[in-house]
Amino acid sequence: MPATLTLVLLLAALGLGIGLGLSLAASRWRDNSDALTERINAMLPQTQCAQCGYPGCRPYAEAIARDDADINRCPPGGDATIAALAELLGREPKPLDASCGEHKPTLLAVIDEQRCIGCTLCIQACPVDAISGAAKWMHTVIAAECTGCELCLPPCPVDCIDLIEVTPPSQRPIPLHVHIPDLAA
Amino acid sequence: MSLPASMTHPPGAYLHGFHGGLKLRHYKQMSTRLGLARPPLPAYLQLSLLQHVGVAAEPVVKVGQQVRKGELLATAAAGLSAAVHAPTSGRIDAIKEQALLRKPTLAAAAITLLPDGHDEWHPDCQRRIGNWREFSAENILQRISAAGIVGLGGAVFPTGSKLSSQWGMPAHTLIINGAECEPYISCDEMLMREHAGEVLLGARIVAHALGIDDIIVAIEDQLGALARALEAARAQLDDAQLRVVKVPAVYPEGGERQLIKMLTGLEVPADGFPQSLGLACINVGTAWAVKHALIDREPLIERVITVTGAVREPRNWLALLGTPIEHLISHSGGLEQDNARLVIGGPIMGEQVLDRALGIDKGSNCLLALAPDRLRQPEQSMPCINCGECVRVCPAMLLPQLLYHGVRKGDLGLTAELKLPDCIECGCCDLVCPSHIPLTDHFRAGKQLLAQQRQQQARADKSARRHAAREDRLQQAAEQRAAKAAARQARASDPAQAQAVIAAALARARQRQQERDGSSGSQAGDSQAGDVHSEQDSEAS
Repeated sequence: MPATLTLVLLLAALGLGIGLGLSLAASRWRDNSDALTERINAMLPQTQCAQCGYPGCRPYAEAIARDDADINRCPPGGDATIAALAELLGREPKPLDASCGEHKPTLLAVIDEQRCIGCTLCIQACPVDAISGAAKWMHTVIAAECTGCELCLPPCPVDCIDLIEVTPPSQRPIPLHVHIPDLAA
Repeated sequence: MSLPASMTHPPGAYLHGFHGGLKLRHYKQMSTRLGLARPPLPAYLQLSLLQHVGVAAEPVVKVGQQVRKGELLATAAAGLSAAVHAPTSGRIDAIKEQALLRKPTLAAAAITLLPDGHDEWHPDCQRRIGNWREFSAENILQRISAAGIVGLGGAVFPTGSKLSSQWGMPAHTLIINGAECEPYISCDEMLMREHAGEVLLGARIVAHALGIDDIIVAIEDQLGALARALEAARAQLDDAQLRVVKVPAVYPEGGERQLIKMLTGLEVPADGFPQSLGLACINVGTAWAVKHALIDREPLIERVITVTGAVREPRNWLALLGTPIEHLISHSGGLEQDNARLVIGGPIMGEQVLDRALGIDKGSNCLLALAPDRLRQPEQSMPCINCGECVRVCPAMLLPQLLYHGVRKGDLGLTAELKLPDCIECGCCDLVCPSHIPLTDHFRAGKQLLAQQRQQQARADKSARRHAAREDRLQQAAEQRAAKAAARQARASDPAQAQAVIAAALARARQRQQERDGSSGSQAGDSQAGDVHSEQDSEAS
């Protein structure tokens, strides 16, 4: 039947045309990888601990954007970061890669100033310049800048750095007080 | 005075409405029968160092130290903070961490002061400091900050910082907020009734500092006697540009944003302050405190607090900061019912008092005892039926029922999108909810979580910046090292250049040798240097 045939051909042509248009548009205005890297990087906790095998959060974000690295290699971020990345990239969330390390609560490095010999090795290791000090002078950690990445631990020759757990801010319970009074006018 | 283009009439000339709100029963008369009085000196005063919004003050006194009334106990920390002064003379007994009275989930250092009963002023206080009309704006604002004055309406924002922050346009009107809208509270009303002159004088001083002529005192429309008292005080001050404006009592009309909407018809931007409309808005108590700081040279050491509800003698006290809750209750005749729930603040926005030994702070406007039969029990809470009553009454024009689901699910992204931080915690939604859901309680918890998340994000951003800066620095250092090494390499590989370098080094060595010979050096040193010299010579040739 010519009428049906015309209809089928028309629809096929239409589909083909729209498909071509869409694929062209997709290749032309592709989500550029820089923007994707930014968005992935914003989801990473910025601990800069290198446990993922990359020298910082940004290089790891770049690797994820290039599809070179899996999304479950960030122990400080834990399941929350994996879930956020899975959502962003449209992948299935998976458990944290145990070879990278385990998820711990937020830590803070503290230098035992009695034992510190002022070797500056931890200063060189700190990825966010959170340790202050000079050769043969006592060092100390700037608590507000420390990310708890543990990178200062291995180089310390006298083992004078401890990592303490940061008490998380207190959560307001629900309900704390329910005293809704009868006040109708 | 020049009004911005968006204002066709001076503020207060016409009254406008605001979205939502509720008409409530007032329960205010019960605490206004007795006049303002000072309670007897308590056995101890407990002064939190975080009575204000921002960073806790830093103590400048030691345990065991004797202090006099008005003496500085803790100085304002860097950033947003406010000083704390001794409310009476006595000895510092302890400085230790204490839960905050009005924010029970937070804690800060608190100073315990044992009064010696002499109530002796510090010599710096209560001295005339000259005519305030001759003071510069900076001088006045600086004195306001030094006196530790914060917003006494309950928001406890440091007043000096509030008034000296950025102005979006030239300041034109000062609003004195006397619209005390929450039921039971009558501290501002009593203060205006008994000290109207001081309040208006304080307002005039603030207006002078800001270069403002026009002052509006906003009070609730049913307070006719109070309006007359204010008019009389105004006549005495001979202040023609001061207006008393009565606003309809629709809770929460005393909220800063709601009051401004009512007086001007304009909305303060969500991310802005009244300053962006050229307005300043301060509480009557704050104006009263400014008068005391500038005229009497007294820091903020006391405030009016309403003690009301299920107490035998409800009244308003002019109480020293740090006065224990228990002390106020017992001097107000004690509780009518032992199981009454104590609330600091009003019945809607107040917090439950968990420790009666704690002292009142700068934001404690009311101490309310609620009898159990006036309380709604938590188990009466039922599922949300999406009736939309909460949306109708929300003065911040939010969607409480959706926010409630967002907080319950822990979906912080959704709550941020629905502008949870704009919630003023007025509790209107709680009052109308037919399912008796404690919505505001959820919103307070959600706001805290959101603030924590933002803090964490800010920290992560800073770490990222610091890491990037460090990477740049290391890379630059490596490049510099590489450049130096390359230059050395280039010199070494070119024979002519290498010879020139060696010749220059030899020349320097010879010069040093000659200098040493001239200055009668030791024999051994000379011969050694000579040996080196000859070696180098032979190498060079």
